[in-house]
Amino acid sequence: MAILKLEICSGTSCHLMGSFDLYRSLDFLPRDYKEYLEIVKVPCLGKCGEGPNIRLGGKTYTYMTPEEIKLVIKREIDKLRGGKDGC
Amino acid sequence: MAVNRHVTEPVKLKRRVLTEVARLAWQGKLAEEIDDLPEKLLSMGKERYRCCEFKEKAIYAERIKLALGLGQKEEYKKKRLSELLPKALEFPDLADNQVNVINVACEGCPINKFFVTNACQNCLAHPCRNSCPRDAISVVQNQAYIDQNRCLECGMCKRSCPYGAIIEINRPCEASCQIGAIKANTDRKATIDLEKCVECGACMVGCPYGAISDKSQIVKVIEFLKTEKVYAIIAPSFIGQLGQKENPGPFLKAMELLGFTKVVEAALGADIVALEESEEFIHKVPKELDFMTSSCCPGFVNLVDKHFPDLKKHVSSTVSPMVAVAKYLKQEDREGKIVFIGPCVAKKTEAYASGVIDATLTFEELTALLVAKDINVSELEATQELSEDISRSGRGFAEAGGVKAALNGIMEKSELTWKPVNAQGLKECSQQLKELIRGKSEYNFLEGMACQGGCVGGPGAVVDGKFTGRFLQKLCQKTVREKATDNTVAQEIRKKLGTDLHR
Repeated sequence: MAILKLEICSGTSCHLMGSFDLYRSLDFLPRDYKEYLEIVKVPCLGKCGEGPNIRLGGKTYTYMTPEEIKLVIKREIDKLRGGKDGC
Repeated sequence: MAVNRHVTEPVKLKRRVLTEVARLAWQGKLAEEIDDLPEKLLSMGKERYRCCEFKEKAIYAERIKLALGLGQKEEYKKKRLSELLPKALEFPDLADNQVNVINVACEGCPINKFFVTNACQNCLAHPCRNSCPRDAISVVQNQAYIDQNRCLECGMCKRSCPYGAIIEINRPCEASCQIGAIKANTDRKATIDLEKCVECGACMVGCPYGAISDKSQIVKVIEFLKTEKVYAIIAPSFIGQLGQKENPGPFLKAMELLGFTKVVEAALGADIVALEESEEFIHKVPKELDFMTSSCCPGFVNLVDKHFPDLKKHVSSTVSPMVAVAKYLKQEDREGKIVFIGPCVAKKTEAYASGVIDATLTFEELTALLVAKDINVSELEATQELSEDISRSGRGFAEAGGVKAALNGIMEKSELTWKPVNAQGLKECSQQLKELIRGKSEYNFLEGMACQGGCVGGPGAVVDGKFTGRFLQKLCQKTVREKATDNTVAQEIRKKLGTDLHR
């Protein structure tokens, strides 16, 4: 099974803008999506000021919200799984 | 009823403003660039929040004024920020009235309390009409309609509707204020009754438009850090606020990088206060008073002062842990500046009035200071450790029940009657105080904390109190000394300070 790496920036700038909330929101992700994810905390993604930032499968997303991170993850995993349509 | 706190869009707005104002202050460019800041802030962030960019810029300007420490005063209106700056740098508004409504940002939420929704079926029985004591309900366009001029807001219609189609709407600011200090003005904008407000900051958290905010002293602190020797007193709820869970090292390292000469935990003061307050209790109860209350939470002290003035003498005269530590530091070094950093808004007024603290920051403001100086705490290698003198019970002051627990540890050896109770949130505090007045209470010591969960739930925290509580417990597990009586340093300082420990 292919694994998607999810890096959540925990730098102080992103922390102030709510990166912790992004973590918490992952609790509400369906289990069959979570299985695909390898979640790591990273100290900086180099886009300070546009946070909170994440990197999913090598692509950086800025201005993330708990709502959007779930959408992005689902979209990318659906692509991985193939067959099924994206959002 | 603790609600999860999130970093919502209005919270991000406030934090961006604090960060950018701090950035200019660090760079010494406030005078040149402050007028461009609303425009710059507008270009940051993805979303547009309000009707148009002009309104957003107007709101940003007001937020910048608060970040500079200026209150929402008539005389500051219609003035350019650069014009106000010289005045702002004299910090004229820091003494009181910390919580401010930003009038342009206030959405003027509906004031009508009861509202008929589309779930109304226009049934045959219409119990709403029958139950209304003022005949305020009629049927308009196949739906019940409430004549707001007649409505008494009794809620009978809501309770009687079998569909639950009538809802009760509360303005979030009014709902969050448990002492009725915030009301709608004639123009429906929120206004704070300063006679009643205890500066707990619950409305700041409650307003979903972020239209209520506190005045900040970030610029003052940055000026100190540039030129003076600065001591920091950190509240015990500091743990985890910068995102490092229960590890205090990076926090201490970050403080060093900001330029603080020395960091002292307010928990040291908590140990001193626990020793002093327990002795005060033994002297006063039951000889002079039938009960005593704690005095470390300024929101609670304000509650007694403004809403229960007859009970003032029952509040412990012992100073708060913050003031105890500040007095000790001032004794050691007259010249150094002292900055208190905590989760609390009411502390800003208490600190100012104490005369021994030179500035106060919230954890939110501290983090903005770090971001503005490009200090990334997650990248720091830290070996700093907390003082080993401080006891577990001192650090426990940050959580509801902590003061009670600390005094328990000392009082359990006493033969006096010791019946403590703790209250969190202004509503619970008021209830306990009322029972004490009536003489119906079985308790003789009340720990009062204005915030839900205690200090960890304060409005100036970065991390949700539920998590800070967990980090604090882990830190306490590693703390060797158990009680205030085990802290020999606190005992020595207490002797040195003597009567200075009383208000």
